[in-house]
Amino acid sequence: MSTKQVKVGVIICSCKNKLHQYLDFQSISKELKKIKEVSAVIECSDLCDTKESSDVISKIKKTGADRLVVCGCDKRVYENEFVSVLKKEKINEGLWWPVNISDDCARAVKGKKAATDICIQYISAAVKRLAFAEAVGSTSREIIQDISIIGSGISGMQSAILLSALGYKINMLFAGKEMGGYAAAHPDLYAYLDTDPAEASEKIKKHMYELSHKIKDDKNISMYADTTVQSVDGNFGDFLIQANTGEKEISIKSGAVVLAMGSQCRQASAGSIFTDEPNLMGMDRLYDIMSKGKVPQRIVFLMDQNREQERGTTSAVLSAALKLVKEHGASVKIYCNNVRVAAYGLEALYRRTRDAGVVVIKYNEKPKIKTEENGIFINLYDTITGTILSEEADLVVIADCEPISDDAVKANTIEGLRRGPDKELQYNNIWLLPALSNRVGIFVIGGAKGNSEYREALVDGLACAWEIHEQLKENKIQVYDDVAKIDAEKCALCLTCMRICPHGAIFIDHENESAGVQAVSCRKCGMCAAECPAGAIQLIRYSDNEIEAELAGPAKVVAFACENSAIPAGVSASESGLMRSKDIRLIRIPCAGKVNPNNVLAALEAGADKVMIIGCHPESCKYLSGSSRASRRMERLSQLLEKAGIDPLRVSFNGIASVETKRFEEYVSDT
Amino acid sequence: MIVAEQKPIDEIKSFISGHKNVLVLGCGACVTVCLAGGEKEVKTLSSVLRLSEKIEIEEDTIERQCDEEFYKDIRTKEKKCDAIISMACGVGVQMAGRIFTETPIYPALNTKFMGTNDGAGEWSENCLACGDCKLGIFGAVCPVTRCSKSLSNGPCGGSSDGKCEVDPEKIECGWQLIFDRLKAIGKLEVLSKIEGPRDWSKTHSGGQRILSRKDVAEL
Repeated sequence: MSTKQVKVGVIICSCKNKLHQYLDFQSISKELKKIKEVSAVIECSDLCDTKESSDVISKIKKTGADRLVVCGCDKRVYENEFVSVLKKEKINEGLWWPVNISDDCARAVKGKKAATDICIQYISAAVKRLAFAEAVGSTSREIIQDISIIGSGISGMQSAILLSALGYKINMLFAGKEMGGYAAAHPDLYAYLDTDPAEASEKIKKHMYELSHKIKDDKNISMYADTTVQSVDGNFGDFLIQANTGEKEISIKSGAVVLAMGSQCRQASAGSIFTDEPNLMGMDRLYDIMSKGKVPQRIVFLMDQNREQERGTTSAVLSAALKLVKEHGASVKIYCNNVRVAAYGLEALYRRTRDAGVVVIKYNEKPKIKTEENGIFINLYDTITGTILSEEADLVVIADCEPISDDAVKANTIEGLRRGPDKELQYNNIWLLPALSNRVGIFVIGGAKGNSEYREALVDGLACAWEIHEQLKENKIQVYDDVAKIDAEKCALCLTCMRICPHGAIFIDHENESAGVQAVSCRKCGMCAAECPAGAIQLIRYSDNEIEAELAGPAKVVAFACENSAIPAGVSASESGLMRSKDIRLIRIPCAGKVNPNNVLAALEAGADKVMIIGCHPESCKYLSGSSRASRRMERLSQLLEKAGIDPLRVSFNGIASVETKRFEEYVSDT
Repeated sequence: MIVAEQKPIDEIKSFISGHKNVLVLGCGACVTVCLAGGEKEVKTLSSVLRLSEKIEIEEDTIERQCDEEFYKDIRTKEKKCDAIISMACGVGVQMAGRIFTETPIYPALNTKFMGTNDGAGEWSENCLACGDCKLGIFGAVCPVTRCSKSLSNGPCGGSSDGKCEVDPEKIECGWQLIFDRLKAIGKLEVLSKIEGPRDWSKTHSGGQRILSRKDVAEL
């Protein structure tokens, strides 16, 4: 990148002199001073001491260096305070790079000489890398601090109340005439909240009344009943909701949007098999029949037909079953894949329901429904007898709840919002819990994310409110420019980056005729940069030049290590005394998805025997699809290498969680 | 858009066997968009060739390989290489051949079809340049590319549940699509008219097709 001579300073922390037994500091200093870019190598004993780090940094600045390699322990230990010191000393925060000489060198291999050699290699690589580093800037942006909540069920109401107490203005948009969602409409379906179903129902009604009146009396909360959302555009801090309220069209600006519209129980709808069947229906039609009082005799509930349900479905089915038996004298059977009673009181309800005579059958294979002239039959393959058990029913209820349909939340209704592989509104990924969606600023709670158990839905509402508060509490935010950057000249507008961005952060910039990155939504995973066929996208701190500069050393095994999984696993492994091969070098990346197959090839060309990408297990990738991409890319590269006559096992993707120290050791020790 | 796919690497290697200095030339247009021959793919191919052969590779990518002017700055590279791998579509490879007349040019791609991009990494054929577009009659669904038999008056008896008998798993019946579309726009009566035989001479037949606009020509 720059042809002018860069000057890099190196700080080496001995961690209160503890590292002297592992590393020959003199030798390290001597070797580093031979590198022409290095203007100073200064040892300190305690990087965590801000006075000491401040002194060292100013000494280094005097030698003309504007960028630093900081050698110490895991950067998470000292980073926050250190960056404040950097700012004070006027060194740009984009112009430093950490080397973990404690866990990657000192404690990683046996023998002072080996550890010292490795240390010199890591630091030299960091120096080379910094030659390409770019300064990071930020702009201040005002944000809207109002919040819109779509849906008025328990989780939405709870969220609104807490957010209002925290001082925010809330807009509640909901489809019905009254608030309260599912719980208000069906207070009888929470029979686990008390041993007496009537009492349980009263509890719900009372709580719903409290919540809705709190909201009605709250001047901070504006309610929009009878409202259908048409679109949600924009980004965190600046969303625009267009909706229809009755006959009027309205536009609402918000800083954050909460999706709390619940799930949808398989109701008779156009195109569904249940439309005209009198004896096959979803829960909504059942409630209708129950409220009219005339209920058929033999009733069968089927759960988990399309997907594994959650406790909310179990509670509704058990409550309804109990009511049908006790109040309507029906005979009820429940077929399910799992019962799911992990909520206080739900196991007891299950027992009461069975004591009342409801039969619960757990199946291996889904039962099949057969409607014939003379009735409706459930056919179940029994694995014990090896026969098909057939039973006639008067009414079959498919009790499943689905994520809210595309009609209610169309793919393009909420810009950039992605459903999971099973159409869920919140990916089944631990990093999103409790309330995040794939898009910054859009939250998912309660039944909408498949969590309609009463107390959990309330907690969702509370947790979401606190999360929003963290993000919206200042009316101005700093928007950093160390996000993915697109070179409009090179961009061919193939739209690949836009399509694969898991955060919906890329749009078509019609003015510049290229793809554009929305800085507030970019989470800097780098997947776009790695996939761009025109090489038009780079990520600050992880540009191809910077990453490949680290390949200059003679490493036999290169591991691109994800900072969310592999790096902390490596730290834990070293701290636990698990050693590594002296031939392995780690290269830090923000996500496995950042690694371009060309980076892997560059590592092979630089002399590596093996190159691996170590990242989160694909189902728990912090950026949702990064590991999956890395895995697919390495599989494709393997096949290409094999066809070219090169050993395909030289490249691989390996999944790891940050706690898997033993697995880390397996990946990085001599095999 | 022109959609192409990289040839198997062993085939590419067989082209350049015996050559010592190869220029790998990418194209910034269609083949970049279909992820087959842009700057990134040039790097990948070059890297794999260097790793598996004793060979010097020069890498470059120009804006488009189908227009002569884009080669201006790289003409001199011909002297330094004894073979050129063009990662463009068949059109670009041929233009490269017209520019670099003294050097063997090898294609890295198989140009497959003109089609839509149906999502990241997915492309499907839609147009084969028949030269006599009748999409306006058939509700913007092409009977030439979407019908396995290119019938002008379909469907045939092999259409079942909207699928084509050639491969009911993978191929949709084009005439079902035409029917559905014409129904949606209220023009089903079109299907009652017999569509005459197509003038296939307008499609590729008997030599290279040429197009010229005299009003724009350089004087």
